[in-house]
Amino acid sequence: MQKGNKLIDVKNLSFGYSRKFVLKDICFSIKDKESILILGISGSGKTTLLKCLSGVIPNTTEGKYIGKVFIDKNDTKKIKQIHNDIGMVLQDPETQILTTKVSHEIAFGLENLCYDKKKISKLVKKYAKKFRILDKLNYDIKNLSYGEKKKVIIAAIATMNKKILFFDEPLSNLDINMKKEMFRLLKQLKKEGKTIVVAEQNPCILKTLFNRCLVLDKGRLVFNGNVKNGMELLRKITRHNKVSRTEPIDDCVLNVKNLSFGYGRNNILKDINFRVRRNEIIAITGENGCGKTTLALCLCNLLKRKRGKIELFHKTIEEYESKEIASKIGFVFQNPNFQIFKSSVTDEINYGPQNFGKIISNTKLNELLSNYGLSDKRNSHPFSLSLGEKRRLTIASAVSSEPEILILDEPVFGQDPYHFSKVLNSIIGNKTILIMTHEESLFRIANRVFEIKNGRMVEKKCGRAM
Amino acid sequence: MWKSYVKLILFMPLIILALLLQDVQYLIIISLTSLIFTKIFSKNFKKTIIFLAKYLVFTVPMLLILWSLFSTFDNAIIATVKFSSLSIASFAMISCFRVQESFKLLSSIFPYKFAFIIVLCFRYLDVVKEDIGRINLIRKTRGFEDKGNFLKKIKAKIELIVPVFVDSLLKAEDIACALDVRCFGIYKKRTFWS
Repeated sequence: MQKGNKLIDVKNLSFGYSRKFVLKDICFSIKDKESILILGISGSGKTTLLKCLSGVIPNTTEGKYIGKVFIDKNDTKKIKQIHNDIGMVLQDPETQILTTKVSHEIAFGLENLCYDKKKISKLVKKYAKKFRILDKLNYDIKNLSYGEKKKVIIAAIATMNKKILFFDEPLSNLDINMKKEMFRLLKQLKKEGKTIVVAEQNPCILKTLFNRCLVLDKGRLVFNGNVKNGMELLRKITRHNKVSRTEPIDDCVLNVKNLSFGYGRNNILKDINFRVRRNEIIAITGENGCGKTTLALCLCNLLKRKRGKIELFHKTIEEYESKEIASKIGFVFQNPNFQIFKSSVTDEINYGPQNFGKIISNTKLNELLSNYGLSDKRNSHPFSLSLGEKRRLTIASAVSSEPEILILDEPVFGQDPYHFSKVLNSIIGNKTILIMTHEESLFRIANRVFEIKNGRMVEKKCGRAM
Repeated sequence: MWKSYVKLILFMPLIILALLLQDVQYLIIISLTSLIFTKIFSKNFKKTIIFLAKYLVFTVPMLLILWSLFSTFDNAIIATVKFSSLSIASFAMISCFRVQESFKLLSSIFPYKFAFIIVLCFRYLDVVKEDIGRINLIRKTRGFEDKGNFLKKIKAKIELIVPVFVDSLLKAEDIACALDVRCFGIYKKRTFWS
């Protein structure tokens, strides 16, 4: 282990956004030039801990804050701003983009630091070369892929020569090539003598990079030691109810023939063919922005410019009315905030059936609520729920109108495994399910796994863990 | 930098004249000249024209009808032409400035923090627009139909407000964090590199 003085010191930190504490009594310290991995399942408080360490939390975001965090012997609460030595890369690159062009984005921080123009040009070029985005400097950021956007954001923060770098889930939503690239970048930053703190639930190839590992479970720090033992402990924590795979019935529910979608030269989907049998579970994976959601929207007949043929229950999809399709296909999107329209949990669950002119009985409603772990929240406002609860509510409200096919877009994100396995057990076996996901753990319950790459869909060998 | 000043000097008199003048023929000349300037400076002239056409198709009949209810028809025509030439000139000006350019120009007039708020607003209008489209699609998958009379349609639009607002507020927190990390606003001045 490297020697050095304490750079970050956390003393008895507890924090909660509202009444409930997300972090409970956390104590540890980080030395100079150390690289640290924070492990934990989603909802265990990784992001909140990172925000506390970087000083975002007592200053920008408010809440119940107990304890102290010192950076270079300065109390974060007293600095009133994020410390100048701290760089933080959040999970979603989309919200961190502040300008329109790649070169402007990289230069933004340097401009704020009042560097002169020549120095900025030099630095931008240098870092673009290092991050292998030199040929894209004049591109509009909108036209980059998800992984490239992430790279631009990291480049923008790396140019500012900060001592400590925080990364929140740098690998999420990336394909394997981009993951390797991210590994290379982090290794380079480590070589430059930066202190690196990464929060990740599935570190796969990054493992070898770190000297130390912290494991969080339900807001508590349960482990502080070497990476190997930490990974083992995490595996123990994620143990959950067994979800068994069921065999499908040989009856074609959905048949897609030569489906293409896109305008002109840049087709998002090209020539997609697949058949889905009744009660089959299919996982579809691919890099973010590769067209998974587009494919799902095509299946619901919500996009106009598609070519090819889709058969739903032996009839082409154009023969149905839009309402009929909606009653047959339930759709759960990734962002739960987009799909909440009513002011209480029960109203929200009733929204779908109401639109179809159905009424769900009280006993069924109670069963749904208890299966999804929402029984005690039935009258509260959906926006007051936690992320995991919100996501379960959106699945419940899609299931309540009894569709025969269910499409789930990234269902694991923000979900704790115990509740999620319960949810899966309640829907598997009597529904056809399409899962759009990056999560390799979900491939185990799927009958078949497909991957979308460059607009084409290929079947993947099942059970091959990455 | 001088290029953006030229644009400003060309467009500003047009907008001021459109505010002051009352004659229909001069107003039409003003809107035509501003369109010519757009052709010269703007990178996507076609997009601007399509946007303007959509906008005018909606506003012109509405103004004509409303104005003629309270005044004579002649007055209504003058008011409509005045309003549309004013909006053409100002939209044309906005379409000629690129984001970084307008940030630079605005911060030479106002403090740069304030200028950035305006620029960021324009950028995130696009994001919000995308979000609204997506929420609409999601509602359709839940069996919602965009049919019925005018009142029902408006009521359905109001239902969208809450999810859009909540999501934008959550995004705002992330943007604030991203700005802080890039040391935005720690000094009173900043360089403009381009």
